[in-house]
Amino acid sequence: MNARLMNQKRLWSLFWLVLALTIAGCGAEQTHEFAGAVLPEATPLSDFTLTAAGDTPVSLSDFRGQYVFVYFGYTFCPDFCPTTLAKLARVREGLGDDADRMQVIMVSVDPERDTPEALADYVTRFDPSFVGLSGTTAEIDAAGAPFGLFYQKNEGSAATGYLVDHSTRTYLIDPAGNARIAYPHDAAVEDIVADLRWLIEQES
Amino acid sequence: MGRRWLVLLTLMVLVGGVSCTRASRDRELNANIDLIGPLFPPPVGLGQVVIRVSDLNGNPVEDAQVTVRGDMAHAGMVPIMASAERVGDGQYRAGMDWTMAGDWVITVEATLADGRIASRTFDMAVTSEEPECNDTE
Repeated sequence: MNARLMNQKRLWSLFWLVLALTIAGCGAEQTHEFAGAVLPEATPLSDFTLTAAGDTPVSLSDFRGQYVFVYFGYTFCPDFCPTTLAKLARVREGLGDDADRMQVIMVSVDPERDTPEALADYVTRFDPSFVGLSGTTAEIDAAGAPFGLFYQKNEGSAATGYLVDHSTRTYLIDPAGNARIAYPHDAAVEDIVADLRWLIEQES
Repeated sequence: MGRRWLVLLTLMVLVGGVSCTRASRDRELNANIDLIGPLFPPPVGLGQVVIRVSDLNGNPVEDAQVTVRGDMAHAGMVPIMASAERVGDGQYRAGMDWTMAGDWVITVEATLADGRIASRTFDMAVTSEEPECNDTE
């Protein structure tokens, strides 16, 4: 009889343990609130290769091991591009000793005017580590396809020349090359830093 | 008694496992249709859908006629439709004007060169409007 009672107690303990683990397993991904839209599961991005200054081919996979922010913009951009790059420079500062864990890539949506050299000159004004990439329209479209990239030329003024309408989101790719987060243009620096710190902590 | 508990425990684990898994989608198996992008919920406004059509061996299909239709998940809304242009490597791109935030069902239909049709649906959440570059803040 005692043995049977003991057996039942053990089974109850096992029952609660399995229940707790099941609930914890389902909710484990929700322990941090990210400042952008998060994909529910790891989604590997297809690699792309574009051109950096000096006609150097640069691939997304060259940055494996780092958290890569990808932004689609252009050097003649009057508003969101400079503010986004300035914000990402502050994010890098905010990471302190972990600054080298992140990399910023701006892909041009205006390859007609953005030579790789002009792009390099532009992005490194915000931070010397930033990389600017350009390519043919087909190459840029292929790089932007997973993000549903949309851009179109628009009339500007005599002073600005034509403008290019484009998305203002910034995408975070994790060190394994998975698309992780899409940040809206108004995501705060401290929130993005908190996201990165949380992701880095999860690695250990 | 012990066996009943074991059955119960097994059921618990199975139910827990199933609830954590995303449902798979039905499709007609004349060809594979995969969504390349957007991976993230697009905002209201102009956007693009890129899909890849491949044969049952995984080889890209370059000569399909591909249409994309977007329906809001609730009834009464006007669907959006677009023909997709071929961009190479079995990929086709369709411009979409997401008219409203909410849950959409995207139906991709590919008519193959021999007349067979493959189709697949994808769920897509569209988020509220975001500014585009060159808008005034």
